[in-house]
Amino acid sequence: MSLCRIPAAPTAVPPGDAQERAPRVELSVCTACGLCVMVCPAGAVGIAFAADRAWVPSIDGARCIRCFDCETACPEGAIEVPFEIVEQERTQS
Amino acid sequence: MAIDRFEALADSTRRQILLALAASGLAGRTAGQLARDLGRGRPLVSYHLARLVEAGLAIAARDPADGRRRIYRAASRVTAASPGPARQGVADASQPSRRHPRTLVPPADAVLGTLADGSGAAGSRAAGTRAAGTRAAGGPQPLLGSGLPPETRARLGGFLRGHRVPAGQLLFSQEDPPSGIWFVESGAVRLYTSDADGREQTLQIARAGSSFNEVPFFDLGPEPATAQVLDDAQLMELPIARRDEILRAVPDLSTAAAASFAFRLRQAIALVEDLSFRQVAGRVARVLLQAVAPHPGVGAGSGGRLLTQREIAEMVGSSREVVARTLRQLERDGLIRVERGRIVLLDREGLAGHT
Repeated sequence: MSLCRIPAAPTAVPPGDAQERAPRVELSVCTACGLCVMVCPAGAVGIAFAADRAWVPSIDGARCIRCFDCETACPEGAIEVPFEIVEQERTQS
Repeated sequence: MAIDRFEALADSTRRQILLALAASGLAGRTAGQLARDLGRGRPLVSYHLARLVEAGLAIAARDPADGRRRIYRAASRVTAASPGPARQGVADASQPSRRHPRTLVPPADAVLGTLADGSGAAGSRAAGTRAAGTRAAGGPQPLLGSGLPPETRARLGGFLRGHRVPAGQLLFSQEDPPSGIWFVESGAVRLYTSDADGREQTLQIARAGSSFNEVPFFDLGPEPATAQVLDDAQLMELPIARRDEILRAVPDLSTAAAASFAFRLRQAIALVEDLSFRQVAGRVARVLLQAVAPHPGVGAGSGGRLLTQREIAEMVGSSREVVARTLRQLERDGLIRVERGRIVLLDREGLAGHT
């Protein structure tokens, strides 16, 4: 696994909206396997060092393109892209 | 792990470094910047940073702009994943008033105005603070921030302390000594309880214009829930240390608080009702309906914060798997359509029938 490919980390507090739309990682489930870092085509998944394991994924909302690749790739289901809840337009129904 | 968190925090230089990191939020600081900030030697700062990383209190990442530089941040996500010792550890015994590292900012009139008006966008967003289990019906929401007359507000202003808190940071944990009453100026804060297995139950998501944590301010008991900042937040705190002084100077506060308590009690009763009597499908349906509840100033569909299945599970007291299954069932029943990154509600009445 090549971790040197994408050592991205947030450089500044990202805009609230972008970070809100970015995938969220459940650290209690994450096994730090690195698949999310490898599959992200936008380089939005970086690594951050953590207490009880080598590292944890750190997702930069400003870079995320919401392609869902990390969510699909995660074997533990630790990553979820949040969804918006909308009502169908009345005219469509 | 070479050293544990308590050992890491036994050293005052490390506490200073950690507080500086926490204040820098997601932006983080490099070892060089910290050395300059604290007026200490860089090798010394680097040594202590390494110990903090070892203990899991700080995290290091490469600067994407310059791969040779390392940026350090306070491990808010780490402390969030394991509440308790790590966060407790951040408290500096020599600075009891700064139990949690935050950026102090002066209370601005504009901030008070937003809190106090409770109208317009802020007020309507406050309507979204009702977490799972609360009724979507309209009616007054006597939130402390919006229920105060202007002169009371003005008197309160002198006591308020501003805090800018990055996402992920815990403000306080369940069973902590009581902190003050908090007002949300911007951003969002989640209040939740958790058990030993790490299961969490969301009680409230406080957004701009609303207040939280009134209870311990009045009964002086321990914190009833854990508060974690969801989105970078600008908060105002009525510090509990000045409680008697505040209650003397602003007697109306008690009346406003009583109204706020009544509102919270209704929320709590609805949550108990949900958890006791409703099936998971009914609770999930209710969360979905609440997300699109048309509040004045907020168009239908803009809803509240974006949610994950795990977050819905925490709101309805279930697991992510059950929520996923429930959403599939609701989709089969033709009530919703699950798309990538979106759930479209097709049949509002049908969903309401589930609740």
